[in-house]
Amino acid sequence: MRSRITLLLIAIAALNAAAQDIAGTVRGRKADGSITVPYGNVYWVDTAISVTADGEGKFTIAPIQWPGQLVASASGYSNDTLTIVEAPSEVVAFVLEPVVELGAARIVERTQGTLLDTRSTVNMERIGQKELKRAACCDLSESFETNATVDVSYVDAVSGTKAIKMLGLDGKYALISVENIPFLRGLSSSYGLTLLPGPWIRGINVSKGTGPVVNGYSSMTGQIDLSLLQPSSAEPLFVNLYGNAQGRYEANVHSAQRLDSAWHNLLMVHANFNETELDNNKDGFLDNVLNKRINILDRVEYQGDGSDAHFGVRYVLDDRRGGQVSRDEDVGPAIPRYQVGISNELVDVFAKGGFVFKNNPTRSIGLIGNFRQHTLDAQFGNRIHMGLEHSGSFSAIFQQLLRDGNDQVKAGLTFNYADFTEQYIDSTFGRTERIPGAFAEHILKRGSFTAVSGLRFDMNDHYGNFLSPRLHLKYDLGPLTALRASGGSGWRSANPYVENASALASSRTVIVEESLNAERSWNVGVALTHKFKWMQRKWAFNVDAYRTEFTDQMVADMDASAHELRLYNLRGASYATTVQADLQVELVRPLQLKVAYRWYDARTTYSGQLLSRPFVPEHRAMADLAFTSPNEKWRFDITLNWFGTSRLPDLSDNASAHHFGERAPDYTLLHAQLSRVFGPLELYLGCENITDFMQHPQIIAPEQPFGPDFDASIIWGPTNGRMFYGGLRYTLKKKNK
Amino acid sequence: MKNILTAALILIGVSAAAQKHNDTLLVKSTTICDMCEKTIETELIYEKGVQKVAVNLEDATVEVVYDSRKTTPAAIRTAISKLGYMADDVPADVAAWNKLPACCKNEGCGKPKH
Repeated sequence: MRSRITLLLIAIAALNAAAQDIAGTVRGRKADGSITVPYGNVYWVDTAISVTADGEGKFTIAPIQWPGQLVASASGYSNDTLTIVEAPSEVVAFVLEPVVELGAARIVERTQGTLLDTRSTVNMERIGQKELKRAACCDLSESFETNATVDVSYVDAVSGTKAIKMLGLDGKYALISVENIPFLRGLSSSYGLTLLPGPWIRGINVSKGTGPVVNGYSSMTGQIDLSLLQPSSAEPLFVNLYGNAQGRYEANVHSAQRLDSAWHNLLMVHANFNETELDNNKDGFLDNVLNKRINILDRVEYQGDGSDAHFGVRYVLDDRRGGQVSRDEDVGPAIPRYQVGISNELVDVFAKGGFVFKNNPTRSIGLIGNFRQHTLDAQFGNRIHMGLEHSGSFSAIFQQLLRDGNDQVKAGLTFNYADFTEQYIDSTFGRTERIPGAFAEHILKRGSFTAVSGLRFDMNDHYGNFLSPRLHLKYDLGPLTALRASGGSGWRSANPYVENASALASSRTVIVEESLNAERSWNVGVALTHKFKWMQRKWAFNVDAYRTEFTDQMVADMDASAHELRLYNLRGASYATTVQADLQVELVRPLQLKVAYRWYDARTTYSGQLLSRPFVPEHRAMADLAFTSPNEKWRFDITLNWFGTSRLPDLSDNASAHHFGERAPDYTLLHAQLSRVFGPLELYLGCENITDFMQHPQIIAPEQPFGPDFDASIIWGPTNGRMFYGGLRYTLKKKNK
Repeated sequence: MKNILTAALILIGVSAAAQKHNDTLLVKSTTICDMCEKTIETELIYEKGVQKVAVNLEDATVEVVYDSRKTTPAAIRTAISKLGYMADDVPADVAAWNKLPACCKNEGCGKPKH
């Protein structure tokens, strides 16, 4: 009897216990404050008893003892522990806080090559690796073939030197940087474009209009910021071999190593070789340039808890030869051969670091420094150009987030140093510039409106002090529509000889009429980007207009005389207005079409006359069709570029046989590339300039290279004919841990 | 300068006013993996009236902020269904589900099964 009652009591107790199951809910609070249901797990500490919350976050769990510790956990959230002393009378509600994740944001590689960005305040186009691979792409100068904003062209017919044009103006007015470290400046502004191998580039951000003050004072028309492969994300091994029908061969080898969880290293080696002489247009001059080059970059990356750092060293040795084709010496030493030889040797060291303050994560400091030594030895016929540059820059940027991260202030100090020793033809000179500067920037975000206002103050010991204000505004008219406006001023010091190195490839006398001022300009622009769906397809549309006006400029006047290049300070107006419209559409999933049209009106006052700048066409159009097979094994790209007519410099005081006409004709260029992926191996085959259009003639008076009318710098069109190329890329992918 | 300031203030005012018409809808779906998150977020934003899309892989929900003057919860659910994903009580569109990559059709593609 007694045992039965005991049994009953135990049973009742058990029932009671069961009836006293703890009921509760598990919810999570996301970073933006909203509440979610994270399918949490609830368990008693140090036991195996656990339950999972359901779709509404509810759970029930049997108690084991009082007091007990009940834990709720969910992936992505911090655990929450409750000590329960006795059976709770109400529902136990857990609200879990998210785990704060530090670390680099995931970079999503999309199917489109160029992204029109509706998020950044600056009007920026991103060229990703997929698009870089579509062009023949051996070096930086060849990375813009499918981009409508940047134009690349040869500056003369003999040296293989290329230059960029942006917004109708020479590339020197754009800040070309690598990860925000100034890259093309000083002696590199002339020859540096071909000295960065294409496979080293992970992405290019092309921004139109003056850039934010943080990046410097010299982004007058825009900024081209390159990001190179990173040690922590690069593949352990990458090999690229390239060859083309003109005898150019290249090899790239990259090796990334993980030193430990925080340190990674990346070594990239590039070699280039071309010893084939070609003269298809029979003007006695080589169509291409003979070349031997080696580029090496080693960079180390450190990712720590709240800090990161990058260090790197780059070495370039480049030797170029051009000019007249070699011939038997039977012809006699009486006729000297016009030869061009350019040798560049460069060593670049950089270091950057960022630290987030531990006690206040809304504050951070960044330090960027670099130092370079560049030796140039160029000879064009009888003319020499030698240069030795030591330059460096350092900046410290302090960043503070305000108002829950919506607003930001940045302030910083910069110091730029450049020391040049140059010999140009028969004069020697040197210059040293020390430019300390300070800047402040404020970012304001209210709903759909963002305003970035900045001010820079730089003291140039050569040219004086400069105040550069900048303003960038962005208004989101919808989630897929952005309206942007920008305005500001910028300046740069002119390097008369380096920037007019093409004059060396001529018999023009270079006359610097007066002491040159720094160049200064104002730039304003508006841009509208809109993405939409129409006919079941996704479209992206961009239209923008920019105007740059110079208050001070180094005018390179080729019109005053065909036998002179006069350099003087601007007297009169000089401006460039450009309007561009782009449209991108995904015709079907594998096929992307991009069309773009640009209108330019770039004029400068040359010797009192307002003339359009030579070689800048008034109209320019581009169409690109990109196909990627659904399994991503096949890729095909075809690009059509059309250039309208442009004005040529006045050659009227040359002998009549040596005239070029007032305007260059309009022309079309067609490129195509096909590639196939076989696992880790990618093979590609392509053709540049399929229609074989070349400028004819390219050189004035090629039969008398040492005569008074000789000029190889009047280049308005392509100097290379149809070219077939092919290559392979082998990538050893990282093993996933 | 004054005109720019006035224009800026008007823009701020307009954007603040626009917020008043925004509603939020939380839709329970069958989203499974990272690719599904990308697909839904990039596709749904093209629908008329949709202001913001946030996919939560943990609980397989889609949070949509939309302009109540331009679209309705029913239209949003239909749009999600047309992408090949379930939306509350609206089943996934069969044709679209068939076109989804293999990963999105399988349960548990790296994420909890529920």
